[in-house]
Amino acid sequence: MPPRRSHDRTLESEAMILGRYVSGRHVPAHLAARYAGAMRALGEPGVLSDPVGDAATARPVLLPFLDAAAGLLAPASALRRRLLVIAAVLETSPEFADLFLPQTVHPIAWIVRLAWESLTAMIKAVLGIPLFFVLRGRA
Amino acid sequence: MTVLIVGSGASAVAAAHPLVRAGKEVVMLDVGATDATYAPLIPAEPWLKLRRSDANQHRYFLGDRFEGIPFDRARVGAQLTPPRHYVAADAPRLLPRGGTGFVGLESTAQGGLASAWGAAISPWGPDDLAGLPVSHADLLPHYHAVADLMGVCGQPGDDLSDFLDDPPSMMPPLDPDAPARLILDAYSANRARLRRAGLALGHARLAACSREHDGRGPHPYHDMDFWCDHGRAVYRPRWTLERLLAFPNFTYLPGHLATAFEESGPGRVRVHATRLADSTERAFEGASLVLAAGALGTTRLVLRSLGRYDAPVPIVSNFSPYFPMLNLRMIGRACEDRRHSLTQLTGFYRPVDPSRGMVQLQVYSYRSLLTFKLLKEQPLAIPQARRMMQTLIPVLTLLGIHHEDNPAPAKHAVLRRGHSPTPGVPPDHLELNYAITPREDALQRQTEREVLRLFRSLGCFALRRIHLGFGASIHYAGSLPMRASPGPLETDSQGRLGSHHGVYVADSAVFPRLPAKGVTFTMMANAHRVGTMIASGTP
Repeated sequence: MPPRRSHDRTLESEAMILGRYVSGRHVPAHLAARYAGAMRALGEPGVLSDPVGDAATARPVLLPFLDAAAGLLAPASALRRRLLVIAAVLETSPEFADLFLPQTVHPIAWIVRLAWESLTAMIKAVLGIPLFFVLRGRA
Repeated sequence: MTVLIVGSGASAVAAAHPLVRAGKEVVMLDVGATDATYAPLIPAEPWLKLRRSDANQHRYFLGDRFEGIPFDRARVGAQLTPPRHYVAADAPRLLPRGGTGFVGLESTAQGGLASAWGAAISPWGPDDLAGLPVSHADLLPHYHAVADLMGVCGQPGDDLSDFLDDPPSMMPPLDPDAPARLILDAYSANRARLRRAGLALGHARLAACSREHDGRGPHPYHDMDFWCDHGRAVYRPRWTLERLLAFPNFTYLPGHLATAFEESGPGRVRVHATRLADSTERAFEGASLVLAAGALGTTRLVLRSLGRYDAPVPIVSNFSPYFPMLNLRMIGRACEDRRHSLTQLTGFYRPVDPSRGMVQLQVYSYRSLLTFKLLKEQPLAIPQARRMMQTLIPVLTLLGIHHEDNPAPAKHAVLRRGHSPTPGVPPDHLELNYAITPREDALQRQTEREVLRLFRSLGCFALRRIHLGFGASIHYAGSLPMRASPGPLETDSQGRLGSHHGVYVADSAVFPRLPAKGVTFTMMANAHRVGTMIASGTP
């Protein structure tokens, strides 16, 4: 049986948590509602309630680490699918479009940015993988 | 003297055009699915402006049922955006398929698969037609006629002219985008060496209008070609269909699934069809029948009509892996918003080893298909993947390598009896089985390695090989091959089905093999030839 806090959440509040994580910004209510509609249309009506998803949304501070681990170990997991949906919803709204548009940067900045993002992702994954296995073990 | 035509795709309208203009009564039977939802939603504005301003963009970019969000891995038809989904949406229900190793795509749309065509054209030369009972000279006037019909563009006299017999009516090429221009500049700087190594590059030949042509175009460079047909600049069969509808001797009957045909004597052909609105059977009679339902659709129809269940026929399909590449010369350079989304450059590579065939190369850029689709492919946390993709997309170039294909015992189609869950759809399915030998695979990979090495000298470094499966090129042929002396499941030089007097095949099923060059333009030229011969009474 999923933890009680899963029942207290709605898809809209899940969208707020995941959207803030993906974009770093507050997600307006109409986009959260669009996320909920997308989840229903795609046949995934319930909120995240597996141990990994529940931990990620109940304690958003864990989300970067669990996402990084899931990207490596479980790219088709419910958490990654939902992050894909919120990314799609945000990308196709004018207020968030710039966060997804291609950017031209100076060659040095190009190298620094790729190196920094790779390093950050790697550190998150290293920290997230043990946590991911612990939570999966509870399933 | 009615001529019945099955299908409304590129070959169907190319065959119908000379018939209708010659005054023949033509009846075109078609399922004819259309998109009434998304096309009216898309403003005629550039991609970037829409992204930044259109509050409704999620409706056409993601779809009203969010069908544009792909959870699974990239697969055949991945380039079909929600406004193009209708092209193949009904096919699994109306055209059941099975088998192993083949991921074909079929269409029941008005305009067929060409409604979502990338519009690259590559006229075949005499070598490509070797073994066919049709010469290059036979096809040449029909290439020109179809080029006039579609409106084509390219750069005459460039290095591709050694491989392509360009039509005289060709318009100037569409402007390539910045990444493609840099590749072309690097190619020009090293041209002599690269030509000696077997590589030729140039502006893509496209069925698109770079200037006004027959009420269409010029291309608006909105970078929306995957989503809609702004300016009608890119050729779609429905542009020709609209012209044909103005003729009183042309009748278009959408909503009909042709299920079988029979010939009761010279000049008497009957086609059975299901009217999909009420699942009732109807019959249509004519003097001749032109089958243009796509190679797989026509094969299904012929095998069923002749009762040839469980009888394998050959099938060939270009194998076309894709290679995302880092175009390092683009680092730090701005990407202009004014661009098209079609093939930017075309190339050919002829290996020194004559046992390996020539390959055709198609160079694309990635932008308008959106960033989120790339995020799921990255084994990174999503925010990091998003920021990396923002940085990488301007530098990303896609190279498609198209291999030739020849028939082999492991590549075949068989019609199997079964049951149909869909009322009005015959109880059978087309089984497609396809495998290549380890030697074929090794030769293809060797050629790909050589191409990638040459592209490295142009500043492009491949990241990985994407293989969507055999059949993903959506180029199918070989099932009813054209022969000088055809058997029952073969066609003669005029496209006439063996042992029949008035049944013609006008799609790519008649080509026994596929050279690396794309089949669509040649298929249309041959269909135009078939239509012209029927119109003139030559057969």
